[in-house]
Amino acid sequence: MNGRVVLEVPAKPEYLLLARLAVTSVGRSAGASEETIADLKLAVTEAVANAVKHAYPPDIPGRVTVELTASAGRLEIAVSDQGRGLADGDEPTASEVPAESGMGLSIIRAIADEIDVGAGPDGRGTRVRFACGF
Amino acid sequence: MPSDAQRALLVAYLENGDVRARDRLVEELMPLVRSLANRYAGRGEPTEDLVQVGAIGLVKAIDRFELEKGVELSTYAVPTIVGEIRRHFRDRTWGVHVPRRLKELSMRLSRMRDELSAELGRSPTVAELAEAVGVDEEEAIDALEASKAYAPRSLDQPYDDDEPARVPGLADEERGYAALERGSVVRQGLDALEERERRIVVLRFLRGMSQSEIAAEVGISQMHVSRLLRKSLETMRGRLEETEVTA
Amino acid sequence: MTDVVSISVPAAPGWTGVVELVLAGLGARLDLPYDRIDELQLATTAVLEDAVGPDVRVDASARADSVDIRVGPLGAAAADPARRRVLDALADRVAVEPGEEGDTWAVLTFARGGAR
Repeated sequence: MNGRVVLEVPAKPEYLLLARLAVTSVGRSAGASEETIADLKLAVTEAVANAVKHAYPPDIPGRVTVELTASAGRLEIAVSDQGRGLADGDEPTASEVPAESGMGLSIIRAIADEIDVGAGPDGRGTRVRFACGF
Repeated sequence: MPSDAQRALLVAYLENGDVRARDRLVEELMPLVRSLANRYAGRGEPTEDLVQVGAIGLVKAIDRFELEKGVELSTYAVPTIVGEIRRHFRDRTWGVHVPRRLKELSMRLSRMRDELSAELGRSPTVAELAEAVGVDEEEAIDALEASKAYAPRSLDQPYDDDEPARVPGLADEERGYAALERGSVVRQGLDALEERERRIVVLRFLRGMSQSEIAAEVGISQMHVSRLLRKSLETMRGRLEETEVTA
Repeated sequence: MTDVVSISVPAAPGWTGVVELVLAGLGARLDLPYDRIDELQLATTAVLEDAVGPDVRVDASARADSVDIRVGPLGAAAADPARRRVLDALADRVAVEPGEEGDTWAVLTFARGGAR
Protein backbone atom coordinates (compact mmCIF):
# COMPACT_ATOMS: atom_id res chain seq x y z
CA MET A 1 0.00 0.00 0.00
CA ASN A 2 1.45 3.33 -1.01
CA GLY A 3 1.40 6.23 1.34
CA ARG A 4 3.29 8.34 3.80
CA VAL A 5 3.34 8.21 7.58
CA VAL A 6 4.90 10.96 9.66
CA LEU A 7 5.73 10.25 13.29
CA GLU A 8 6.97 12.99 15.57
CA VAL A 9 8.23 12.26 19.05
CA PRO A 10 10.21 13.97 21.80
CA ALA A 11 13.97 13.48 21.35
CA LYS A 12 14.16 11.06 24.26
CA PRO A 13 15.41 7.46 24.17
CA GLU A 14 12.17 5.95 25.43
CA TYR A 15 10.39 6.97 22.24
CA LEU A 16 12.67 5.02 19.95
CA LEU A 17 10.30 2.09 20.49
CA LEU A 18 7.56 3.98 18.66
CA ALA A 19 9.73 4.60 15.63
CA ARG A 20 10.60 0.91 15.44
CA LEU A 21 6.95 -0.09 15.75
CA ALA A 22 6.03 2.31 12.96
CA VAL A 23 8.65 0.71 10.71
CA THR A 24 7.31 -2.76 11.50
CA SER A 25 3.77 -1.77 10.68
CA VAL A 26 4.46 0.15 7.49
CA GLY A 27 7.01 -2.42 6.37
CA ARG A 28 4.57 -5.30 6.75
CA SER A 29 1.77 -3.42 4.97
CA ALA A 30 4.15 -2.69 2.13
CA GLY A 31 4.98 -6.38 1.86
CA ALA A 32 8.62 -6.18 2.91
CA SER A 33 10.27 -9.37 4.18
CA GLU A 34 10.95 -9.70 7.89
CA GLU A 35 14.64 -9.44 7.11
CA THR A 36 14.22 -6.11 5.35
CA ILE A 37 12.05 -4.90 8.20
CA ALA A 38 14.70 -5.90 10.74
CA ASP A 39 17.32 -4.04 8.72
CA LEU A 40 15.18 -0.94 8.48
CA LYS A 41 14.46 -1.07 12.20
CA LEU A 42 18.17 -1.16 12.89
CA ALA A 43 18.79 1.74 10.53
CA VAL A 44 16.01 3.81 12.06
CA THR A 45 17.35 2.97 15.52
CA GLU A 46 20.73 4.36 14.53
CA ALA A 47 19.29 7.50 13.01
CA VAL A 48 16.90 8.26 15.86
CA ALA A 49 19.50 7.43 18.53
CA ASN A 50 21.85 9.90 16.86
CA ALA A 51 19.24 12.63 16.98
CA VAL A 52 18.39 11.85 20.60
CA LYS A 53 22.04 11.96 21.63
CA HIS A 54 23.43 14.78 19.56
CA ALA A 55 20.82 17.07 18.11
CA TYR A 56 19.80 19.09 21.12
CA PRO A 57 21.55 20.47 24.20
CA PRO A 58 20.71 18.42 27.31
CA ASP A 59 18.01 20.64 28.73
CA ILE A 60 16.30 21.67 25.51
CA PRO A 61 13.18 19.69 24.67
CA GLY A 62 13.63 18.81 21.03
CA ARG A 63 11.67 16.62 18.68
CA VAL A 64 12.54 13.99 16.15
CA THR A 65 10.52 13.41 13.00
CA VAL A 66 10.41 10.05 11.25
CA GLU A 67 8.80 9.98 7.82
CA LEU A 68 8.03 6.62 6.25
CA THR A 69 7.08 6.48 2.59
CA ALA A 70 5.94 3.21 1.12
CA SER A 71 5.75 2.65 -2.61
CA ALA A 72 5.82 -0.44 -4.76
CA GLY A 73 8.76 -2.54 -3.62
CA ARG A 74 10.42 0.32 -1.76
CA LEU A 75 10.34 1.84 1.68
CA GLU A 76 11.98 5.18 2.30
CA ILE A 77 12.62 6.57 5.75
CA ALA A 78 13.77 10.06 6.66
CA VAL A 79 14.75 10.96 10.20
CA SER A 80 15.11 14.65 10.91
CA ASP A 81 15.61 16.97 13.83
CA GLN A 82 15.60 20.72 14.28
CA GLY A 83 18.75 20.93 16.33
CA ARG A 84 22.36 21.66 15.64
CA GLY A 85 23.44 20.20 12.35
CA LEU A 86 26.10 17.56 11.79
CA ALA A 87 29.40 18.99 12.90
CA ASP A 88 32.54 18.40 10.89
CA GLY A 89 34.01 15.08 11.79
CA ASP A 90 30.79 13.27 12.45
CA GLU A 91 31.75 11.01 9.61
CA PRO A 92 33.91 8.12 10.90
CA THR A 93 37.12 9.47 12.44
CA ALA A 94 40.58 8.09 13.01
CA SER A 95 39.83 6.24 16.24
CA GLU A 96 39.45 2.56 16.98
CA VAL A 97 35.72 2.81 17.52
CA PRO A 98 34.24 5.59 15.41
CA ALA A 99 32.31 8.37 17.09
CA GLU A 100 28.79 7.19 17.79
CA SER A 101 27.11 9.20 15.07
CA GLY A 102 29.77 8.19 12.59
CA MET A 103 29.25 4.51 13.35
CA GLY A 104 25.53 4.97 13.14
CA LEU A 105 25.84 6.34 9.63
CA SER A 106 28.26 3.54 8.67
CA ILE A 107 25.69 1.00 9.77
CA ILE A 108 22.93 2.66 7.80
CA ARG A 109 25.21 2.77 4.79
CA ALA A 110 25.89 -0.95 5.21
CA ILE A 111 22.20 -1.74 5.29
CA ALA A 112 20.34 0.60 2.99
CA ASP A 113 20.31 0.73 -0.78
CA GLU A 114 20.48 4.50 -0.72
CA ILE A 115 21.36 7.05 1.91
CA ASP A 116 21.72 10.77 1.98
CA VAL A 117 22.53 13.02 4.86
CA GLY A 118 22.07 16.75 4.93
CA ALA A 119 20.40 19.67 6.56
CA GLY A 120 16.78 19.42 7.67
CA PRO A 121 13.85 20.58 5.55
CA ASP A 122 14.20 24.27 6.36
CA GLY A 123 17.97 24.33 6.36
CA ARG A 124 18.24 23.73 10.09
CA GLY A 125 19.12 20.56 11.92
CA THR A 126 19.87 17.26 10.25
CA ARG A 127 18.01 14.91 7.95
CA VAL A 128 19.12 11.35 7.33
CA ARG A 129 17.22 9.71 4.51
CA PHE A 130 17.61 6.08 3.49
CA ALA A 131 15.68 3.54 1.51
CA CYS A 132 15.46 -0.19 0.97
CA GLY A 133 14.01 -1.94 -2.01
CA PHE A 134 12.50 -5.40 -1.58
CA MET B 1 44.01 6.86 8.05
CA PRO B 2 45.03 3.95 10.23
CA SER B 3 47.30 4.97 13.09
CA ASP B 4 50.99 4.17 12.75
CA ALA B 5 50.77 1.23 15.11
CA GLN B 6 47.79 -0.19 13.28
CA ARG B 7 49.48 0.41 9.97
CA ALA B 8 52.49 -1.58 11.10
CA LEU B 9 50.28 -4.51 12.10
CA LEU B 10 48.41 -4.37 8.82
CA VAL B 11 51.61 -4.39 6.81
CA ALA B 12 52.94 -7.27 8.88
CA TYR B 13 49.85 -9.31 8.17
CA LEU B 14 48.84 -8.30 4.66
CA GLU B 15 52.32 -8.22 3.18
CA ASN B 16 54.23 -10.67 5.34
CA GLY B 17 51.51 -13.09 6.43
CA ASP B 18 52.17 -12.48 10.14
CA VAL B 19 49.08 -14.05 11.72
CA ARG B 20 49.97 -12.79 15.18
CA ALA B 21 49.74 -9.26 13.85
CA ARG B 22 46.28 -10.04 12.57
CA ASP B 23 45.27 -11.43 15.96
CA ARG B 24 46.47 -8.20 17.59
CA LEU B 25 44.34 -6.22 15.16
CA VAL B 26 41.30 -8.35 15.92
CA GLU B 27 41.88 -7.85 19.63
CA GLU B 28 42.08 -4.10 19.17
CA LEU B 29 38.85 -3.93 17.23
CA MET B 30 36.79 -6.31 19.34
CA PRO B 31 35.09 -3.37 21.10
CA LEU B 32 33.71 -2.41 17.69
CA VAL B 33 32.46 -5.96 17.14
CA ARG B 34 30.83 -6.05 20.57
CA SER B 35 29.23 -2.71 20.00
CA LEU B 36 27.71 -3.85 16.73
CA ALA B 37 26.63 -7.20 18.17
CA ASN B 38 24.87 -5.43 21.01
CA ARG B 39 22.73 -3.55 18.55
CA TYR B 40 21.27 -6.86 17.50
CA ALA B 41 20.90 -8.18 21.01
CA GLY B 42 17.62 -9.38 22.44
CA ARG B 43 16.28 -10.80 19.20
CA GLY B 44 16.34 -14.44 20.19
CA GLU B 45 20.02 -15.06 19.51
CA PRO B 46 22.58 -15.07 22.35
CA THR B 47 24.79 -11.99 22.18
CA GLU B 48 27.96 -14.07 22.52
CA ASP B 49 27.06 -15.95 19.34
CA LEU B 50 26.64 -12.63 17.59
CA VAL B 51 30.00 -11.44 18.86
CA GLN B 52 31.68 -14.56 17.50
CA VAL B 53 29.95 -14.20 14.17
CA GLY B 54 30.89 -10.53 14.09
CA ALA B 55 34.51 -11.41 14.79
CA ILE B 56 34.50 -13.60 11.69
CA GLY B 57 33.33 -10.57 9.76
CA LEU B 58 36.16 -8.55 11.24
CA VAL B 59 38.74 -11.12 10.16
CA LYS B 60 37.30 -11.12 6.65
CA ALA B 61 37.48 -7.34 6.54
CA ILE B 62 41.10 -7.37 7.67
CA ASP B 63 41.92 -9.96 5.02
CA ARG B 64 40.45 -7.79 2.32
CA PHE B 65 41.76 -4.46 3.55
CA GLU B 66 43.80 -2.36 1.15
CA LEU B 67 46.24 0.02 2.79
CA GLU B 68 46.58 2.26 -0.23
CA LYS B 69 42.93 3.22 -0.21
CA GLY B 70 43.43 5.46 2.80
CA VAL B 71 40.29 4.32 4.55
CA GLU B 72 40.11 3.76 8.29
CA LEU B 73 40.04 0.04 9.14
CA SER B 74 37.23 0.37 11.66
CA THR B 75 35.04 2.15 9.11
CA TYR B 76 35.86 -0.39 6.46
CA ALA B 77 35.03 -3.30 8.73
CA VAL B 78 31.55 -2.17 9.78
CA PRO B 79 29.63 -3.40 6.70
CA THR B 80 31.34 -6.79 6.77
CA ILE B 81 30.75 -7.29 10.48
CA VAL B 82 27.12 -6.24 10.17
CA GLY B 83 26.74 -8.43 7.10
CA GLU B 84 27.92 -11.53 8.96
CA ILE B 85 25.55 -10.85 11.84
CA ARG B 86 22.62 -10.36 9.49
CA ARG B 87 23.45 -13.53 7.64
CA HIS B 88 23.50 -15.38 10.95
CA PHE B 89 19.96 -14.22 11.64
CA ARG B 90 18.81 -15.11 8.18
CA ASP B 91 20.13 -18.64 8.61
CA ARG B 92 18.80 -19.18 12.10
CA THR B 93 15.87 -17.04 13.10
CA TRP B 94 14.15 -15.57 10.10
CA GLY B 95 13.84 -19.00 8.56
CA VAL B 96 11.02 -19.80 10.97
CA HIS B 97 7.77 -18.71 9.44
CA VAL B 98 7.07 -15.42 11.16
CA PRO B 99 3.32 -15.72 11.52
CA ARG B 100 3.78 -19.04 13.33
CA ARG B 101 6.32 -17.56 15.74
CA LEU B 102 4.11 -14.58 16.44
CA LYS B 103 1.11 -16.83 16.92
CA GLU B 104 2.91 -18.96 19.51
CA LEU B 105 4.10 -15.91 21.37
CA SER B 106 0.67 -14.35 21.23
CA MET B 107 -0.92 -17.44 22.76
CA ARG B 108 1.63 -17.44 25.59
CA LEU B 109 0.96 -13.77 26.19
CA SER B 110 -2.78 -14.32 26.24
CA ARG B 111 -2.47 -16.98 28.93
CA MET B 112 -0.04 -14.84 30.90
CA ARG B 113 -2.37 -11.87 30.66
CA ASP B 114 -5.10 -13.81 32.43
CA GLU B 115 -2.75 -15.28 35.02
CA LEU B 116 -1.28 -11.89 35.86
CA SER B 117 -4.70 -10.27 36.05
CA ALA B 118 -5.73 -12.79 38.65
CA GLU B 119 -2.56 -12.04 40.64
CA LEU B 120 -2.57 -8.28 40.26
CA GLY B 121 -6.28 -7.61 40.37
CA ARG B 122 -6.00 -5.61 37.17
CA SER B 123 -4.85 -6.06 33.60
CA PRO B 124 -1.04 -6.24 33.42
CA THR B 125 1.11 -3.63 31.70
CA VAL B 126 3.17 -4.48 28.63
CA ALA B 127 6.32 -4.42 30.75
CA GLU B 128 4.82 -6.92 33.20
CA LEU B 129 3.67 -9.19 30.38
CA ALA B 130 6.97 -9.04 28.52
CA GLU B 131 8.97 -9.83 31.63
CA ALA B 132 6.71 -12.69 32.62
CA VAL B 133 6.97 -14.29 29.20
CA GLY B 134 10.65 -13.48 28.74
CA VAL B 135 10.61 -11.31 25.62
CA ASP B 136 11.31 -7.64 25.06
CA GLU B 137 8.50 -5.10 25.09
CA GLU B 138 8.60 -4.50 21.37
CA GLU B 139 8.10 -8.17 20.58
CA ALA B 140 5.33 -8.39 23.16
CA ILE B 141 3.51 -5.43 21.64
CA ASP B 142 3.86 -6.93 18.16
CA ALA B 143 2.42 -10.27 19.27
CA LEU B 144 -0.37 -8.68 21.32
CA GLU B 145 -1.42 -6.63 18.30
CA ALA B 146 -1.26 -9.63 16.02
CA SER B 147 -3.91 -11.40 18.06
CA LYS B 148 -6.55 -8.76 17.45
CA ALA B 149 -8.34 -10.70 14.80
CA TYR B 150 -10.86 -8.09 13.81
CA ALA B 151 -8.54 -5.51 12.36
CA PRO B 152 -6.45 -5.93 9.19
CA ARG B 153 -3.15 -7.49 10.26
CA SER B 154 -0.51 -9.75 8.85
CA LEU B 155 -2.32 -12.65 10.57
CA ASP B 156 -5.94 -13.37 9.97
CA GLN B 157 -6.93 -16.25 12.16
CA PRO B 158 -8.55 -16.03 15.55
CA TYR B 159 -6.65 -18.12 18.05
CA ASP B 160 -8.97 -19.28 20.76
CA ASP B 161 -10.76 -21.89 18.73
CA ASP B 162 -11.33 -23.87 21.88
CA GLU B 163 -13.03 -21.03 23.73
CA PRO B 164 -16.61 -21.65 24.81
CA ALA B 165 -19.09 -20.47 22.22
CA ARG B 166 -21.64 -19.46 24.82
CA VAL B 167 -20.96 -16.82 27.40
CA PRO B 168 -22.66 -17.64 30.71
CA GLY B 169 -25.42 -15.14 31.38
CA LEU B 170 -25.92 -13.07 34.49
CA ALA B 171 -29.25 -11.89 35.83
CA ASP B 172 -28.06 -8.33 36.55
CA GLU B 173 -27.03 -7.57 33.08
CA GLU B 174 -30.24 -8.92 31.63
CA ARG B 175 -32.04 -6.37 33.74
CA GLY B 176 -29.66 -3.64 32.67
CA TYR B 177 -30.32 -4.42 29.05
CA ALA B 178 -34.06 -4.60 29.54
CA ALA B 179 -33.98 -1.21 31.27
CA LEU B 180 -32.78 0.50 28.11
CA GLU B 181 -35.50 2.32 26.25
CA ARG B 182 -36.72 0.23 23.41
CA GLY B 183 -36.32 2.93 20.83
CA SER B 184 -33.00 4.21 22.10
CA VAL B 185 -30.08 4.20 19.78
CA VAL B 186 -27.95 2.17 22.15
CA ARG B 187 -30.66 -0.44 22.49
CA GLN B 188 -30.95 -0.66 18.72
CA GLY B 189 -27.23 -1.08 18.47
CA LEU B 190 -27.26 -3.81 21.09
CA ASP B 191 -30.10 -5.55 19.32
CA ALA B 192 -27.82 -6.01 16.36
CA LEU B 193 -25.40 -8.10 18.40
CA GLU B 194 -25.33 -11.77 19.05
CA GLU B 195 -26.19 -12.83 22.56
CA ARG B 196 -22.67 -13.39 23.82
CA GLU B 197 -21.43 -10.11 22.37
CA ARG B 198 -24.34 -8.25 23.89
CA ARG B 199 -23.61 -9.64 27.33
CA ILE B 200 -19.99 -8.52 27.14
CA VAL B 201 -20.99 -5.06 25.93
CA VAL B 202 -23.55 -4.67 28.69
CA LEU B 203 -21.03 -5.72 31.32
CA ARG B 204 -18.51 -3.29 29.94
CA PHE B 205 -20.61 -0.24 29.28
CA LEU B 206 -23.66 -0.51 31.48
CA ARG B 207 -22.00 -2.06 34.48
CA GLY B 208 -18.64 -0.39 33.90
CA MET B 209 -16.57 -3.52 34.42
CA SER B 210 -13.06 -3.56 32.99
CA GLN B 211 -12.05 -6.15 30.42
CA SER B 212 -10.02 -8.07 32.96
CA GLU B 213 -12.93 -8.09 35.41
CA ILE B 214 -15.30 -9.32 32.73
CA ALA B 215 -12.89 -12.07 31.75
CA ALA B 216 -12.55 -13.22 35.33
CA GLU B 217 -16.28 -13.12 36.01
CA VAL B 218 -17.40 -14.74 32.81
CA GLY B 219 -14.59 -17.29 32.62
CA ILE B 220 -13.11 -16.49 29.22
CA SER B 221 -9.74 -15.01 28.32
CA GLN B 222 -9.15 -11.28 28.17
CA MET B 223 -8.12 -11.67 24.58
CA HIS B 224 -11.52 -13.13 23.84
CA VAL B 225 -13.25 -10.28 25.68
CA SER B 226 -11.18 -7.80 23.70
CA ARG B 227 -12.05 -9.41 20.39
CA LEU B 228 -15.74 -9.62 21.22
CA LEU B 229 -15.77 -5.96 22.21
CA ARG B 230 -14.05 -4.91 19.02
CA LYS B 231 -16.40 -6.92 16.89
CA SER B 232 -19.41 -5.63 18.82
CA LEU B 233 -18.41 -2.01 18.42
CA GLU B 234 -17.99 -2.47 14.69
CA THR B 235 -21.39 -4.10 14.45
CA MET B 236 -23.02 -1.45 16.62
CA ARG B 237 -21.47 1.35 14.64
CA GLY B 238 -22.68 -0.24 11.43
CA ARG B 239 -26.18 -0.54 12.84
CA LEU B 240 -26.19 3.05 14.09
CA GLU B 241 -25.19 4.25 10.65
CA GLU B 242 -27.99 2.27 9.04
CA THR B 243 -30.40 3.78 11.53
CA GLU B 244 -29.24 7.29 10.69
CA VAL B 245 -29.66 6.68 7.01
CA THR B 246 -33.21 5.40 7.35
CA ALA B 247 -34.26 7.98 9.96
CA MET C 1 6.34 18.54 31.13
CA THR C 2 3.87 17.07 28.73
CA ASP C 3 5.27 14.80 26.08
CA VAL C 4 3.41 14.84 22.80
CA VAL C 5 3.58 12.08 20.23
CA SER C 6 2.10 12.85 16.81
CA ILE C 7 1.40 10.51 13.98
CA SER C 8 -0.06 11.43 10.64
CA VAL C 9 -1.36 8.81 8.21
CA PRO C 10 -3.43 8.73 5.02
CA ALA C 11 -7.13 8.86 5.86
CA ALA C 12 -7.83 5.38 4.44
CA PRO C 13 -8.81 2.12 6.18
CA GLY C 14 -5.53 0.21 5.87
CA TRP C 15 -3.55 2.74 7.87
CA THR C 16 -5.17 2.41 11.28
CA GLY C 17 -2.81 -0.45 12.10
CA VAL C 18 0.25 1.76 12.35
CA VAL C 19 -1.64 4.20 14.59
CA GLU C 20 -2.71 1.32 16.84
CA LEU C 21 0.80 -0.07 17.06
CA VAL C 22 2.31 3.31 17.90
CA LEU C 23 -0.39 3.89 20.53
CA ALA C 24 0.45 0.49 22.00
CA GLY C 25 4.07 1.60 22.24
CA LEU C 26 3.05 4.81 23.95
CA GLY C 27 0.76 2.91 26.30
CA ALA C 28 3.65 0.60 27.17
CA ARG C 29 5.88 3.57 27.98
CA LEU C 30 3.16 5.02 30.18
CA ASP C 31 2.70 1.71 32.02
CA LEU C 32 -0.98 1.59 31.16
CA PRO C 33 -2.74 -1.70 31.95
CA TYR C 34 -3.19 -3.54 28.69
CA ASP C 35 -6.97 -3.42 28.62
CA ARG C 36 -6.74 0.35 28.87
CA ILE C 37 -4.40 0.39 25.90
CA ASP C 38 -6.88 -1.74 24.02
CA GLU C 39 -9.70 0.71 24.62
CA LEU C 40 -7.56 3.71 23.80
CA GLN C 41 -6.83 2.04 20.47
CA LEU C 42 -10.49 1.16 19.91
CA ALA C 43 -11.72 4.67 20.58
CA THR C 44 -9.03 6.25 18.41
CA THR C 45 -9.72 3.84 15.55
CA ALA C 46 -13.41 4.68 15.81
CA VAL C 47 -12.69 8.40 15.51
CA LEU C 48 -10.29 7.83 12.60
CA GLU C 49 -13.23 6.58 10.56
CA ASP C 50 -14.60 10.11 10.48
CA ALA C 51 -11.45 11.58 8.97
CA VAL C 52 -12.00 13.57 5.80
CA GLY C 53 -8.49 13.33 4.45
CA PRO C 54 -6.29 13.31 2.60
CA ASP C 55 -4.37 12.72 5.85
CA VAL C 56 -5.38 12.49 9.45
CA ARG C 57 -3.30 13.29 12.50
CA VAL C 58 -3.36 11.80 15.98
CA ASP C 59 -1.69 13.84 18.75
CA ALA C 60 -1.25 11.97 22.01
CA SER C 61 -0.34 14.04 25.08
CA ALA C 62 0.70 12.24 28.20
CA ARG C 63 -0.03 14.15 31.38
CA ALA C 64 0.46 13.05 34.96
CA ASP C 65 -3.09 11.76 35.38
CA SER C 66 -4.39 11.29 31.89
CA VAL C 67 -3.69 10.77 28.23
CA ASP C 68 -5.33 13.11 25.73
CA ILE C 69 -5.76 11.87 22.19
CA ARG C 70 -6.59 14.56 19.68
CA VAL C 71 -7.65 13.43 16.20
CA GLY C 72 -8.38 15.47 13.09
CA PRO C 73 -9.30 16.88 10.75
CA LEU C 74 -12.68 15.16 10.87
CA GLY C 75 -15.92 15.60 9.02
CA ALA C 76 -19.12 16.92 10.55
CA ALA C 77 -20.23 13.36 11.31
CA ALA C 78 -17.82 13.31 14.20
CA ALA C 79 -20.11 15.55 16.21
CA ASP C 80 -23.09 13.25 15.70
CA PRO C 81 -24.59 12.20 19.08
CA ALA C 82 -24.85 8.53 18.14
CA ARG C 83 -21.15 8.37 17.44
CA ARG C 84 -20.40 10.29 20.59
CA ARG C 85 -22.30 7.72 22.61
CA VAL C 86 -20.05 4.87 21.52
CA LEU C 87 -16.95 6.94 22.26
CA ASP C 88 -18.32 8.09 25.62
CA ALA C 89 -18.43 4.45 26.62
CA LEU C 90 -14.73 3.98 25.95
CA ALA C 91 -13.07 7.23 26.93
CA ASP C 92 -13.41 9.12 30.18
CA ARG C 93 -14.15 12.33 28.34
CA VAL C 94 -14.95 13.14 24.74
CA ALA C 95 -14.86 16.63 23.31
CA VAL C 96 -15.40 17.72 19.75
CA GLU C 97 -13.91 21.08 18.94
CA PRO C 98 -13.26 23.24 15.90
CA GLY C 99 -9.73 23.31 14.54
CA GLU C 100 -7.78 26.24 13.17
CA GLU C 101 -8.99 25.84 9.62
CA GLY C 102 -12.69 25.48 10.28
CA ASP C 103 -12.41 21.71 10.49
CA THR C 104 -13.41 19.44 13.36
CA TRP C 105 -11.20 17.68 15.87
CA ALA C 106 -12.07 15.18 18.56
CA VAL C 107 -10.28 15.01 21.89
CA LEU C 108 -10.51 11.80 23.89
CA THR C 109 -9.26 11.77 27.47
CA PHE C 110 -8.25 8.58 29.27
CA ALA C 111 -7.45 8.64 32.96
CA ARG C 112 -4.23 6.88 33.85
CA GLY C 113 -4.19 5.31 37.30
CA GLY C 114 -3.95 1.54 37.57
CA ALA C 115 -0.36 0.31 37.42
CA ARG C 116 1.28 3.35 38.93
